[in-house]
Amino acid sequence: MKKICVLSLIGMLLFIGLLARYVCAAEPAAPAPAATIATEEVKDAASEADQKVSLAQVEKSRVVTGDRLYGLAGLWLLIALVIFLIRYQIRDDEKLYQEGYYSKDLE
Amino acid sequence: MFNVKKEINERIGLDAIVSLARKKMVPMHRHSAWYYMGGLLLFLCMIQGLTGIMLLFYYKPSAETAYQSIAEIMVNVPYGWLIRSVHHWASNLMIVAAFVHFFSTFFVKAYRRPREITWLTGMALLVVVLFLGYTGYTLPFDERAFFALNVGTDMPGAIPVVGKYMLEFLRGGENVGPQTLNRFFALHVGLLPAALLLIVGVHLLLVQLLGMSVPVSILKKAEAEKKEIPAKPMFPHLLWHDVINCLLLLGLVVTLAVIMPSELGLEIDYLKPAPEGVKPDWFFLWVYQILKWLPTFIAGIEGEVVGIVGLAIAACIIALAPFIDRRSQRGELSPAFTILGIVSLLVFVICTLIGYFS
Amino acid sequence: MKLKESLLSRRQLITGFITGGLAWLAAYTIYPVAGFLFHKKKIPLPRAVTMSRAEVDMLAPNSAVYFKYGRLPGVLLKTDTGQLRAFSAKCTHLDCIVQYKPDTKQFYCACHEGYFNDTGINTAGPPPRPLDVFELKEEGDKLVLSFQEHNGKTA
Repeated sequence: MKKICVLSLIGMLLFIGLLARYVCAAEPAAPAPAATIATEEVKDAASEADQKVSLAQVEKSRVVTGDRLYGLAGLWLLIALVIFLIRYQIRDDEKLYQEGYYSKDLE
Repeated sequence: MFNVKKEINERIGLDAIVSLARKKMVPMHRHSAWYYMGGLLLFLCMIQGLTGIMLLFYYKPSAETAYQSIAEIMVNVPYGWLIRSVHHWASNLMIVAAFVHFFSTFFVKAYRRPREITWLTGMALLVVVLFLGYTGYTLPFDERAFFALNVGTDMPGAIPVVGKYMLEFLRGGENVGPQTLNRFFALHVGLLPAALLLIVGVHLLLVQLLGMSVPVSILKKAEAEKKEIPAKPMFPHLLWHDVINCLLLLGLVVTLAVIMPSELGLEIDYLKPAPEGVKPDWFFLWVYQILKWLPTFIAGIEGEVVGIVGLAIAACIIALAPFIDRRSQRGELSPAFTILGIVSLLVFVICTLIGYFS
Repeated sequence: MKLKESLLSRRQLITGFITGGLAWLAAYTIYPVAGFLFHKKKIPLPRAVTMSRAEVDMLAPNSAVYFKYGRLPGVLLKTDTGQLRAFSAKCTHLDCIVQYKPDTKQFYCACHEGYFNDTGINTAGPPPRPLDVFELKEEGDKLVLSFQEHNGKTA
């Protein structure tokens, strides 16, 4: 027990020492500011316009298009299919359960 | 052969969990349908978490950039309109579902012994969900958000003594400004979801430990007829029903998102007067309407103060129902609290409707 | 020979169909999610950048300066003999920015001790290939730098 206490004390002191060294260390010499040279960009005219999105564009994005409705119809079709299958399974489970079986035990 | 299932089972005791799950029975009676609400709420929580994290990939939370980043999500990011609208509609449905869950639990008196703590965590969750809705509403930082921020942060200001500090805490100053948005962002994506997760964990754990509550009327009837209340195993029967519910809900959310994508208002203009018919989001309309009806002064005290303190007291009575409703605790029918529930529900629905259509 | 009984129970068949249906549904839902998450913001690089000839003339021999090429960092080197060379300043190892060491006439990357010589060839350390080179042209009092390899690409 005593040994552990002494060891942990030494460890703590070491840690504090390292911390102090870190805290008190002189700031590392900051790298000299990099020499730079100014440039001007040569741009295609088209690429400058695509910056700010206008409210009109946002309104356009909210329009219900045919594509979106098709996508929605597809989702409902899949949901309906899965629900149909699950209901079939539930009926099966119910029937087994009424007969006194637990469906999970039969698998 | 290396058996993954067996190896995992040896380490975390999966069998114990499975056998526990198998034993879970759910009582079946004419009020059983309300048991599904919690599962739906959990599913909506998951949708909100996922779409919320996705929106964080593009949303830039600062007064200068928030509005434009939402516009970019709507226009430039593929399916951005969909993800944002799903987040919007799922949040609305989550608040609806939370209220339904709350009122149904109240009416069947499921807060009875030993479920008092479950009830209290549920009330806390309702508050967290409402605040998630409100803080989320302000994040686009458009005109609507600006007025919601002003009015919404003004209200706690009416609370005696601590109100002033709450107002300044929420606004990050005396007035709503760019700094307010960052506070609301921190609340919406940091503090509130963390609180939600923690409380939901406790709530669910308690539900699993205590099982489903059966309404007093059903218990009495079964007792009188000397019959046992029929029950079904949770797995697989009712879990499949939960899956069906969740799929239908997913369909509903996506349909709403496609047919009515969420809006983006005008950019904030600090000098513009409040536009005609500026109102809070629907789930706070009832508060708004009640406060509107109150006269400026009631017995020398500001009407707003009376209203807010009154509503707070009413909320406390409902939250503390398990400790006040002695009849339910004794396992007797408690019509007084049923009436209290009906009155609260009517006030909520009627005030919301009047607020909406006026 | 025909089996009298099916190897697959009706129950297994339905369970399989349900699993398949749910997987299909998951894929259908994940498609827009993936589209959303993998969106690449297009920030086109400029076609070229120009810098003032007079400013370049003022540079001391055997020295280098950084310049911006859209979002990419570039470095312009003036050799002892007054020759001009321009490179992408990104180290080809892990994209740190290199610096010029006039005493050894080397580009040096501090991240993992990579070295390139004054023609941009990788000479020591981990960099796998030479620095990318800019094309230099003189047009009147301007120096035009363009980046053939990245032209049209986005940063």
